[in-house]
Parts: sequence; structure tokens; C-alpha cells
Amino acid sequence: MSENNFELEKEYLEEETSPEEKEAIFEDFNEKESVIQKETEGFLMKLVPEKFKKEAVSLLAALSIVTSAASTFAEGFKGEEIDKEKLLPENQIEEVVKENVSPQELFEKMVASDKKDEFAPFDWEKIAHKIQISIGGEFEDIPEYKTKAVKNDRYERLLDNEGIVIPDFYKRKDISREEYEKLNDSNPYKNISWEEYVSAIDMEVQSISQANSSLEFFTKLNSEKEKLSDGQKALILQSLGNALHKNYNFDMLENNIFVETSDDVMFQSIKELLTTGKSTESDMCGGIGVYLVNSAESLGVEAWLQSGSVRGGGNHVWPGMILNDNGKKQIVFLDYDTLIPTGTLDYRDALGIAERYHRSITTLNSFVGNENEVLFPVESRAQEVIKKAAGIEETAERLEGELSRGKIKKEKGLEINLGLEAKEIKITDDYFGVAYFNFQDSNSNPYQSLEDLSALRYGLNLKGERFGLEAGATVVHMNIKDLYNASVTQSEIIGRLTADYIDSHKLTKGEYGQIILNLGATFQELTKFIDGNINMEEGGKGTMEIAPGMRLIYIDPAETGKFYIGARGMFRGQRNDFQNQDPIIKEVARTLTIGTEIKVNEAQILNLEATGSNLDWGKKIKIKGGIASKELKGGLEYEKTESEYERFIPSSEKIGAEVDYKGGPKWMIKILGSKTTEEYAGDKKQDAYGGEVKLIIFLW
Amino acid sequence: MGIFLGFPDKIGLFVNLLKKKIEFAKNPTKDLAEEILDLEHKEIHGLMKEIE
Repeated sequence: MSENNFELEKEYLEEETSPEEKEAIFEDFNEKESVIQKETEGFLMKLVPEKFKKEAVSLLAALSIVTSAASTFAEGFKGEEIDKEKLLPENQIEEVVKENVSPQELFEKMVASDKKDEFAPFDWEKIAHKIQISIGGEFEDIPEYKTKAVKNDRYERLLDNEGIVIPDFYKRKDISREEYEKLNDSNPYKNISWEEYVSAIDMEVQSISQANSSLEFFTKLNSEKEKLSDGQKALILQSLGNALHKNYNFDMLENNIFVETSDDVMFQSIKELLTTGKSTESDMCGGIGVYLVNSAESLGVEAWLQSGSVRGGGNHVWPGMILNDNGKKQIVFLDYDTLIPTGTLDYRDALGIAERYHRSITTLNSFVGNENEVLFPVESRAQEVIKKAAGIEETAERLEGELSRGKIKKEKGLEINLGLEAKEIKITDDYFGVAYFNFQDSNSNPYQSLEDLSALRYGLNLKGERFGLEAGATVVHMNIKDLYNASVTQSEIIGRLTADYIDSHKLTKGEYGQIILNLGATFQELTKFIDGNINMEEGGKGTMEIAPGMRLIYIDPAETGKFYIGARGMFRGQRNDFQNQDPIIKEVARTLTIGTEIKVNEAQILNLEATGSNLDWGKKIKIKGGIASKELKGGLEYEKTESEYERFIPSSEKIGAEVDYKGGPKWMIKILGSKTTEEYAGDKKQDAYGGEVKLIIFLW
Repeated sequence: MGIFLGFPDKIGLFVNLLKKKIEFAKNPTKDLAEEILDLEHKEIHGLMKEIE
């Protein structure tokens, strides 16, 4: 066969592949690849900690992240018209992937040949183009608060010492009295009387005994809600949590299959336990949580679900609710049969108490939701610190920067940040970055679950003009406070893979001016490994976000004014609901930006920008403006968020100001100040003040 | 110590994998699917063997 014939046949064959066939190939590939990934994750999870120290284990973990991340990223580009040249434009990167030379040789060549004059790892002058020293911090009122978890394990008492079911155990006042005295020592039960306790238990038992279905049970609870105090309602919910925990379905956990259960199955399992003392399988934490939320709502209690990690790295779901304790409303979490009062309506702070109870900090999978769906991620103070330590940037903000520049950001330099609690030193080179981060809870904030943290972060950068790949790993050692003046140690590795694509097109240039179109996309995937185990958060993969966007820029013919308009979206991988936990991709943000830069005179430029975002939890607007001259630059910023879920994310207003002074070609000072006011549902407004001074020294 | 910093010899593999997957996403063929799966399988099993 001649070469031409071969080409023709190849083309013919390619044309013959129908879209359905392509879809089938794709599905078959995804299926086979997921088998490889599951095998890898399973292999890593079974490893004993000693083996985790082996270099090959880290490499296998890295490969596991890269294979899954590469698939998701590639699919994001499916159907896009992108030339190979545009994707990996830099010769150095192309060189590395050629197969006829060993990658090690090519890497050395890439670093050592044409870059050898710039690359000298320990030559500070070569490494740092600039040195940035920043001193700053946030100032706010720190409340004092002490709490303890309250367990109600009533159903544990249905067996006697011989393991035989005590007939009508719930009618035995001696058993109840013992339980009452234990509970009565703790909030929120300090004011509950013995009579109130007995009437709540009687009401629960009668409602269960008389109902034939879950619906009847909920209806009964609803009809009694006006007669019960919040303390009595909490007792009933704890007791139901205890019964469902005794009926926990371990088969679902072992087989890793989420079996469909119904409210009726859950209710019958409670009734069976109450009347015969026999345990029958109900559901796992997600399903139990959903049932408890339905029960709480039937009792007229506002309730929701929260996901997060527990000690050892397992993933968990538990309900949260609002309870009135001595006339003061507060967020209380319910972990099956254990009540965790938080003493606050500030959700960020309440999560800190949950972390102290679980003795674990959820870095990547802290989602809030209701009985029907998983809503959005929420963060505690500790999670914010860990994200900073791991160098995790907001995906959408990162894309906005790329769209504004029209090219990939390349940073080199030494940065030292000194805050009141956090300190960081960061060195970034053309290819590598390394950072050390330290945090101390110097305010002894009861809502900060971290006592201290130190982190070492490594990053690898491959950046061309249009395509950038950053892969990094942060080794974190931390001490987590428990609820009782002690702390536990936890180590984890957070893997990060970020890919940016940006393309800039000059559409027209002539007497009417110039129009430029910047198109871009950012992908970010994070994975967490705790004490040598892959955390099963989000199915072992951590979190994934993709943000595509564009910016259209018009520059007038005299180049004295610039006007731009841009749009971006954001998609996040998460679970559909807490019971079935099917993975979905959800559109979580749409943002529109309009801005202008006008040359007022030869020496001064005025800039104004307005950004409006529709988010999955509310709306955000941001207006900023400033004036810049050769030496001095000043700017003001106003940001307002209107939350549709003020229980979890506060509505807020932020006013910020920045003054930059450039004292010559070698140095500049930036002074930043801000005031933020936040308001959670039913809570008073809280102010926080931020201040920062940055000294930037340019070496070359 | 770092997951990626210690493996400059694998950068080629990571970038190559990403490149092939983008090609595959644009035009899925059985050959390319097999090539990618072989590559992943070979690397992953090689490492598993080394760890064991």
C-alpha cells in the first residue's frame, strides 16, 4: 500500500467513527481507567504506615492524582478547537515529552541548557527578582466559651448484665432516672425537670408504638411540637439518633454500595428495637442524618446536614440544628446520640467546635446541605489556615487574574509574610517553589480548633505563554484541640494540581481602535492523605473545580482609554445528596465584570471596575476604583454580599483601602486596611479590622 | 520529601499523559485509549511491585 493510499484509508476510517461509537469508546475507556484508579487507591489504603515512607509510594500517589486530574481536565476541553501548538507552546515543555530521549536527560537539558544562566538553586540573586516583606493581621473580639459533648445512650440500657432484653425497659423509671441525672448535669438540659424528662420520653415511646409508618410518626411528632420545650425536643432527637446508631448498616460500608432505604425502613428499625430489643439494619450516617433532620423538622426545629472528616480520616455526615438554651439561640450539632452545643450562631465558629469534638479538621469536604441536596462548601477558621498553608487559591479569582493579564502569571521571588498568628516564607523560582508556613493560636480562641500548625510546601511549575501546570504537595503537621483542654497530633499531605489555559486574540486594530479577546480556563484538583491513608473524601479524590471565562477589551485609537467586559463561570464536583451520594458537576457561579482605565493626563491613570456574581449561595457585588501616578497609587474597594443562606454564610460588607508608594526603581511600600462587617441569621453584626504593610524590594 | 519535587524524571510522563488525554477527549479512538491505559497500567503496576 502506498503512503497516499494509507493516508486515505486512515482518513476514511476516521470518518467512519460515528458520534455514538466515539461515546462508546469514551465510556469503555472511563470504565477501564476507573478500575485502575480504584485498584491504585485500594492499594495505597491498605499500606502499612512504614511503607508510606518509601519514595515509590509518594510517586504512586502523585500518579494517581495526575491520572484522574488529567482526565477531568482533558474532558473540559472536549469539543474545543485548540491547536497542539497553543496547548503546549514552549519548546522546553515539548522537548520533555519527546519519546526518543529519556525524560531525565531532557529535564536536565531543559533546566541546564538555555536556562542555565538563570537557574542556580542556591544563588539568591538568581532566584529572587524581588523580595516582599509583609506585616499584618486581623483584629476582632474573641469570645470565651467552654462546652462539652452530651451523650444520651438510652437504648444501650435495654439489655441486662446477661445480655437479655429488659422487658419494657423504657417504662423502667430507675433506668430513666439514671439517664436523667447524667444529662441534667449538662447544657442544654440544666433547666429540664424530671417531669419534663419523663413526659418527653413517654411522648416519644407512644408516638413510635402507635404509628404504623414513618409518615404517621412524623405527623404525631408535629402535632405535639407546641407542647414540648427545645430541651425536650433535643432529648427525643438524641434518643432516635441512639436507636438508629444501634441499627447502623455496616454492610453498606463494607460493600461500598449505597442501598436504597426509605423512611419507613428506618422507622420500622426504631420500632423493632423499642418493642423487641432487636437490631435491624437501617442506613449509614448520611441516611440516619436525613431521618433525624426530618424528625427535627416535624418537631418544628430548624435542622440541616453537615459533612466532614472524623479522627483517622473517615468521612462523616451529621445533623445541625438551632436550639433555644435559656432564651439564647445557638447552633447545636447532633452526632447520632451525642449533642454538641456550640454557644454561637456564627457558623464558621460552630464548625470549629465540631472539629474539636471530632478531633479532626476537614480540609476538603466540608459541605452543608439539607435532607434533599448537598448545597455548598463551608469553612471553619482552621480550614482557612490549612488552605493558606497549602497555597490553595480560589479557582475563580485565579482565572480572573489570567483573563486580565491575557497570559499565564509567572512569579519569581522571595516573600516573607508576618501575621499576628501566621508566618510564612516562600521562594518561587522558574520551575520550583518552596514555602514554610507556621501558625500558632496566640489568641486561645475557643472556636479555632488548631492549637498550632507547621507546613512545608513544594511546588513544581511548568509554564508557557498560554498553558500552565502547577503541581504541589504540602506536608502538614498540626495539633488539634479537643473539647477538654487537651490536643491530638495529626499529619497530612495535601496534593494540589492546577492547570491554566489562556489565549489572547487581537481581533481588530485600525483607526477605530483595538479589540482584544482573552479566553481562558482554570482547573484545580485537591487530594488529602491523612497519616498515610488516602482520605475517602469525595470518593478518595478530594475536590475538583473548573472555571472557564472570557474578557473582551477595547482600547481607543489614541490608547488613552481602555474598556473591558468579561464573563466567567465556575463548576464544582460534589455529591448530589447526603443519602445516595452520587457525584455530580454543579454550576456554582456566574460572574460579569465591567471596567475601564482612563489616562487623565500624562502622569495619571484612573481605573474603575464593577463585578457582579450570582453564586450558589447568594449574590456578590464588588466595586473598586483608584488613581495611579508614577510614584503614588491609591485605591478604594467596596464589596457587598447578600447571602440566601445566612445560617451558613453571612451577608457582609467590606470596605478596603490601599496606598502604594514607589520610592524609586528599587523599592515600594503598600499599605492596606479594611473593615468587614458580617451578619449570620439571628446573630448580631460582627466587625473585623484588617491591616497590612508590605515592603517590596526589586533586585534587578 | 515532596510528592512531585522528588521526581523530575516523571514530569515527562505527567505532561505526556495530559497531552494524550486531551487528544483522546477531542478524538477518542480505541488505539489511543489502549495506549493511555497501557501507559497508566505499566507505570502503576511497576510502582506497586517496587513497593511490595
